[in-house]
Amino acid sequence: MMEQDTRNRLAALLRAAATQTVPEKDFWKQFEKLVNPVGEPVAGLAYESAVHYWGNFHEKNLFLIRVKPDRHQLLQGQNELNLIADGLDDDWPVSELEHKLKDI
Amino acid sequence: MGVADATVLPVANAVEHPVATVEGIANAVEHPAEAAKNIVDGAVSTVKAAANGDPRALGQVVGTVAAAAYAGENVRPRLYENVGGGGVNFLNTPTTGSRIGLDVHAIPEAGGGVRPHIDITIKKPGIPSGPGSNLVNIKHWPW
Repeated sequence: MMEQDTRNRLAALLRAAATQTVPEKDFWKQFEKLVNPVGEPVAGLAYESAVHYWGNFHEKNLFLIRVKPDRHQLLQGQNELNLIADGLDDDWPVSELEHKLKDI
Repeated sequence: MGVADATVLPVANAVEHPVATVEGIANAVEHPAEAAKNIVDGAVSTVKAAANGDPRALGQVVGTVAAAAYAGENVRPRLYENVGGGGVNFLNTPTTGSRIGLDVHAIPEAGGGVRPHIDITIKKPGIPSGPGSNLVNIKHWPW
């Protein structure tokens, strides 16, 4: 079970990612120090959303030219990261968080 | 009708006549120079016909341009540079905000192992994100 301090720090990190106020490399360094995505279900959900969210910034088109992130996918990622942060701060059960993530 | 010639009908025809489609592809692979010449000849004929005002040819040109524009904008390879893996996403298909992804990265369900998988998120028409926006939401199939 994740300590409340860890939960709050992870929540803050996810919100920082969503607002792009933390560089990706720093995000992953801090993420790995805080949690293990395999051992903790909420961390696994955060990992999944973060992988796809940051992936938006590495997209290319069919000609392999870098392109701007798709705005709908970016918003989707921000919504997911913020929702997980809310769940961490308010200590939602994993099942509740999973249900809400499936809905957005 | 011409737009459909260039977009929907080839897919429908391939589904309806899969053997003929495979034979056609095999023939093109065996005779690449001939296949390329036929493609160029066909394209030139279509553009000439469109320039002469043939409505079907005009539709085919518009359809081809539309299909190329769609693919250029919405088919997106990506790498997960900081965690490893990558994939190809088909975005905004069939609705805005949807994502069909062929992905390879570490997934918790496989104990953190890197696994190929498919993600499918289909958004309701006109609701590209937010609560209640999903018609389908499948993650990490088949894991």
